[in-house]
Amino acid sequence: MTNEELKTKIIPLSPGAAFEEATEWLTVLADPLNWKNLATQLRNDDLLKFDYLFCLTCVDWKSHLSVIYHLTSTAYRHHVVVKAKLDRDNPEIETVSDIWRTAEFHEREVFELFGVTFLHHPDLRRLILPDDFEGFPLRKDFEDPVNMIKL
Amino acid sequence: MTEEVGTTQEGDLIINIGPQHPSTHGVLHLVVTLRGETILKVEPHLGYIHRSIEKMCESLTYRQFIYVTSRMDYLSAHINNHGCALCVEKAMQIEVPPRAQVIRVLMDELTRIASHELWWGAMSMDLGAFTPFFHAFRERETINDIMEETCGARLTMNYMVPGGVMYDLHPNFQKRVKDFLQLYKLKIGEYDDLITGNIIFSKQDEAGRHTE
Repeated sequence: MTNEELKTKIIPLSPGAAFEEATEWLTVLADPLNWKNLATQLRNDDLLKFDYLFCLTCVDWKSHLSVIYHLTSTAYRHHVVVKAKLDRDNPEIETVSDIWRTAEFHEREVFELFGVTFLHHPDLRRLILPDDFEGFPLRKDFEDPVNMIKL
Repeated sequence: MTEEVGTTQEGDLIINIGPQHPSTHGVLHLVVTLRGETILKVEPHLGYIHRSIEKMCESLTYRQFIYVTSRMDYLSAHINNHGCALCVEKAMQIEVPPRAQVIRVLMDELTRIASHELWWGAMSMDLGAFTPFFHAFRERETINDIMEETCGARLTMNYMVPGGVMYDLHPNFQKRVKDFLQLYKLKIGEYDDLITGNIIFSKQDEAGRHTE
């Protein structure tokens, strides 16, 4: 399906969703509160069938955090990108690890590096950082006087 | 969930494998629960090879970060550079000249062969067959020599940059690659003979199958 067709299919699933202009893949700006619902439908819908979550990251725009999901369909080979804007002070979003199992690890990484809490995640704990690490390294305001980060 | 090193109540042993260990090929930390020689439970602890490349690249320019990305998967430096250069080009909508695109694909495929050679050699060595390792590295050396002539480096070739490639191909490149490919066709048969029909390898393969 082309981007236009995907757009017409997704609009009824997530009313009030905005779309980014002029991107290679269709980019949906989703509402974090409605995310679980939209994700379930993206996976289960017969014409969409997004069954492969191939990237889950977070970007720190200094005013807010944005969790980004890259989805693709192995059946139809179309892609979509979903961005969810989160508040910087209390970033929370529903987990999708029960929809796409790979999200378990990716969400753990985003949790420890950015501080985003994934609600109802089966095992939300640190993945790569040592247990006594303080702070969220990939946030733009992270300073480490011991190990120089800014080059 | 986190096991402490020691002995459980049933007498099973909980030990660490790694992070520094000669056979883990890089840093890998496993906490295993052993009963005799059977592994009951494995818990991996990840992150020892995390080099905070994302954080470092935040303070580098688009031209500088190629040098860091070469080291992400250090066996296939060209492929990493190509991917990162493509990302910048797509975002800035730069068009790469066709000759550079073809050169990039050629270099990528040679690097893929080199990377798989190392995988195959190291895998065989882990299973106890030490000879294939040297055969694999002989071919890898040939590819590295070709790379060295064109790119200037043998392992972390920072050759593909946003916009194209750093230099044009060396005049010897075409002849050397053709000679290498002729040689390689014979070598593939040699590798097959070394490992696939080998009785030791097939017995080990059987023994390693999951008993279920």
